[in-house]
Amino acid sequence: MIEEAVLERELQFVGTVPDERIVIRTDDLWKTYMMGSEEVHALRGVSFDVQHGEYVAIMGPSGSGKSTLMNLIGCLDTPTSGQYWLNGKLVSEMDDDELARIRNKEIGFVFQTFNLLPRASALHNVELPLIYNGTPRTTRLEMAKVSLQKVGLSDRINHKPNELSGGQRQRVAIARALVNNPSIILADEPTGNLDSQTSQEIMGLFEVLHKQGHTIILVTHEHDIAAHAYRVLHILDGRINSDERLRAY
Amino acid sequence: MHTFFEAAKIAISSILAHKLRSFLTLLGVIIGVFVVISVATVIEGANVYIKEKIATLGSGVFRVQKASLTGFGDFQKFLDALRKNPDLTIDDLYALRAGVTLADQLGAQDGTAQDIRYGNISLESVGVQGVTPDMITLSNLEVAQGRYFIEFDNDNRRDVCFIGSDVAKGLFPSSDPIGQEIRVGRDKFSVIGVATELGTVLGFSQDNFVLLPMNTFLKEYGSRRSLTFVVRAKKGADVERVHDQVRVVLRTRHKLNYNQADDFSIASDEETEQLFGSITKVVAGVAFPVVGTSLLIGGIVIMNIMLATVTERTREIGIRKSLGATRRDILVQFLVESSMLSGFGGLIGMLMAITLMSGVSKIAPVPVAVPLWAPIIAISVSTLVGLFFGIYPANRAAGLDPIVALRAD
Repeated sequence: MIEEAVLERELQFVGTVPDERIVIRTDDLWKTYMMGSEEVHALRGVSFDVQHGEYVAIMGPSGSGKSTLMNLIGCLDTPTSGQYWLNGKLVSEMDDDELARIRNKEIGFVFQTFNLLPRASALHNVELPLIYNGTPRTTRLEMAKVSLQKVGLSDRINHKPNELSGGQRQRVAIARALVNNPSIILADEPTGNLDSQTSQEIMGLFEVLHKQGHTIILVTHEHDIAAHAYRVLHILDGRINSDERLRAY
Repeated sequence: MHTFFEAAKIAISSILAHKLRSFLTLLGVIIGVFVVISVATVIEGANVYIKEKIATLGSGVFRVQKASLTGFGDFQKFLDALRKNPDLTIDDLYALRAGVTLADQLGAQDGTAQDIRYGNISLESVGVQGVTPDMITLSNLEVAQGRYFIEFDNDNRRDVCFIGSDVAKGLFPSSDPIGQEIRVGRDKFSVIGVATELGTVLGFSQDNFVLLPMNTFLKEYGSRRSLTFVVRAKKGADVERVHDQVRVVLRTRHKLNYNQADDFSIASDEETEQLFGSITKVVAGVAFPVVGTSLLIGGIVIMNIMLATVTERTREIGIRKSLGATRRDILVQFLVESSMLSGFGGLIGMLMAITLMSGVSKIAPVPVAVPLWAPIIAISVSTLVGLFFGIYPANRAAGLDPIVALRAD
């Protein structure tokens, strides 16, 4: 019975499995919440592809479904219906533990509020994803140091978050996102808590990472931040309103 | 394994970050373990003491007395027996020596208290005992100087004595006691030997004695007294059968009918140990419910504080989950934290108990010995308490939705 079901599922999708250039493919993603007895559709059929090395901004006003989409892309949540392939893997059908593994390996989060552990040093914060995939200690420390070096914080590895400026904290978070060499870097309003000067520095860093070949998904509601991306997806009322290419890669 | 070390590190830093809170949380566990270890230390101390100092006869050795507390266990019965039972005499000893074929050795002793004097030094109320020469091998006495009695001393009722180390030091602070004549009661006895030091039992010195040959003792202090016989069974002989032989001899001599009870008492070290064992069982029976209750309360407090910790660190849990921590990772993290917290409490309780009890043993004659199992039990039981009461909070943490957790303040 189970094998039949699996086979049926595979037959159904055999034509839609993306080729290896495509890092993200969503196909008719729906997310429905129950508010009391009322159904609320946060996403109403979102489909798009992102290729390796793209730098995409997802824009939309609050309530547009932008955050819901980000949670789905970040494998923090599963869709009510529809398929989501990340790096060739159908993640929309995965359970909690598999999703945790995907978050660990395939996704590097950068949050608006940095989300660093306050009592841990910069080095330990960057080390965390490696701890959860069982990387041996010496390799782990080496990788974390390299990652901090990439964001220009080699001289701050033993500082705690509260000993660092906002920009430096976000750099630590970026170093943490990079450390596992993920398929995508998923940045949720990464400059929301930073002043404009620091914001420019951070966006400059993303540009460098993009040039190095990283795939970046930037979620924001600010036009001038989204303008750093090469492609902008506008979300409105749970649907993709427009898919705009700002410049060639 | 990596996550386990990570969890241990987190646990230590979180315990250290809230020292006072951790301590208060752990009071129940600390008190519980403290009581267990204190009680266990005293019980073990008593056991070691009985083995080393009181029950010194060794296996296969037993006493035959007119009445003994260990044989009856009941104080009133003991007093009745002491009043009614016939005295055990030196003739009984000879009869036993002839009749108990399974005995390797059969000695007798009895004692009184006398003032003793040498020159102008006198010691009051020193234990004076008459012993048969074979008692040296039936007791834990050893000769430090000179010699013990031989049959010749006993048969000829010689006025010689063998003294304990306290007596030797007391009467002869700077001279050699051997060959000197000391006054015991009315008469003079010459010292032929000194015993090695035995130490104290429950604060009483065991070295304050003067021994006389049995027949000398009976001549001096009268033969109307009841002796204590000490019997060692032959190697390989069933001790019960030796008891039976003793019974047959004494019952025949006392002309008892088959339906009459023994009018004497046979007591071995095993029985002495059993008597103490029954006392320690009562103590343990009182202590362990107290301990159980405090560990239960301690566990509930730990559960409570862990629930608060989970709420406090919801965001941290969200961060960890977003970085790839599985439910299991988070579960392990909080289980390790609650077990380590509780185990740490057990450690504190144990150290407090050991410190206190070793302090007490220095100022009071309470025997103290830390049983080997105590630290292991203390740490493992308290760790298990933490583990058990940590399950619910840890499950809660593990089940948190990462999206909700990340948004928490």
